[in-house]
Amino acid sequence: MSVGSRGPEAEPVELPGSSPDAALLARLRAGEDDAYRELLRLYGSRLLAVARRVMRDETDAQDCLQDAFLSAFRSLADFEGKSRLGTWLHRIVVNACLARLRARKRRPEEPLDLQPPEFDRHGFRIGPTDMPPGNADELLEREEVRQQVRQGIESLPDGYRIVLVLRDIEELSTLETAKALGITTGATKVRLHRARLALRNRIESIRQ
Amino acid sequence: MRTLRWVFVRKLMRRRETAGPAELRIHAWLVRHVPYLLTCADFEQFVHDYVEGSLDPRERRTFDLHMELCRTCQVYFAHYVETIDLGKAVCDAADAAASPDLPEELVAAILAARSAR
Repeated sequence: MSVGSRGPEAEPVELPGSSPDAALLARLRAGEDDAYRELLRLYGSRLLAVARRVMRDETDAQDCLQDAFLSAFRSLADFEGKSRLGTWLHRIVVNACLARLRARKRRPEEPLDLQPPEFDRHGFRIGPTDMPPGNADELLEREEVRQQVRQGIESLPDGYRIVLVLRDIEELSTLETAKALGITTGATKVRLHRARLALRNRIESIRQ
Repeated sequence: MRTLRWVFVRKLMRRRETAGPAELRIHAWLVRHVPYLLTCADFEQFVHDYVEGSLDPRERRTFDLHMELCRTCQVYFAHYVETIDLGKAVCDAADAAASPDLPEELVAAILAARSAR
């Protein structure tokens, strides 16, 4: 990861009529049945993965995906092509998941299992001064690490997990994430930071 | 920043991890009175924005200077960035390993729902 690479990026502009997306879009708007199946084939699996990460439950994820695609089919005439088709669908899936979560009966949010950074009375950090052994690539080779990281993300309370998934995994901008969740960019930053710290604590416990 | 004063300040601040109580009080005084120096608690407030690339040039220089002088925060920041990278890499690996196709019953359900409207 390069620091500073996570700011909002301009979405690529499609050339009208010349890209594979444009050809598929024309067929979808013409009502070709095979075009709908092809859309599901091209984007369905990736978007189901997104829904799974947001919803945590396979049935809910599939229901959200269905809602999202039906919404997309109804909105094809409104798609202006200012973003890629996949990006547009991604946004619809995320919104469908969030709508379903909001519609659920509100439960008190579980507390975040977080060991916040510690500072002495002068404001200096209390912590290790040696870099830990191994690097990210070496850690990734271990199945137990991959499993712990996945479980670590899944175990975050909804409010923190969804921000982490949208920002760090799906790479939405802070502004896009805040808009999708209906919270301020400041609240988004705080939740994301705390979610990352909670996940970091879990990764550190694997190392020990 | 390249004056003799800064050379002295840098040398002193780099010894923080092994400093005794008296020296730590000097460090704390320097941080309160010398521009561009941060406490680690202040540094913590900038970490997210630094990763986002949204610090202005002055803030970024201040952040970079603290990273240069504070071994504890170097280690902390390395862990922080590694966490972000691992989360993304694990999810990407899971996506790559998953079936490229939707379950056929889900495809059928979506297409049937579309036809019913």
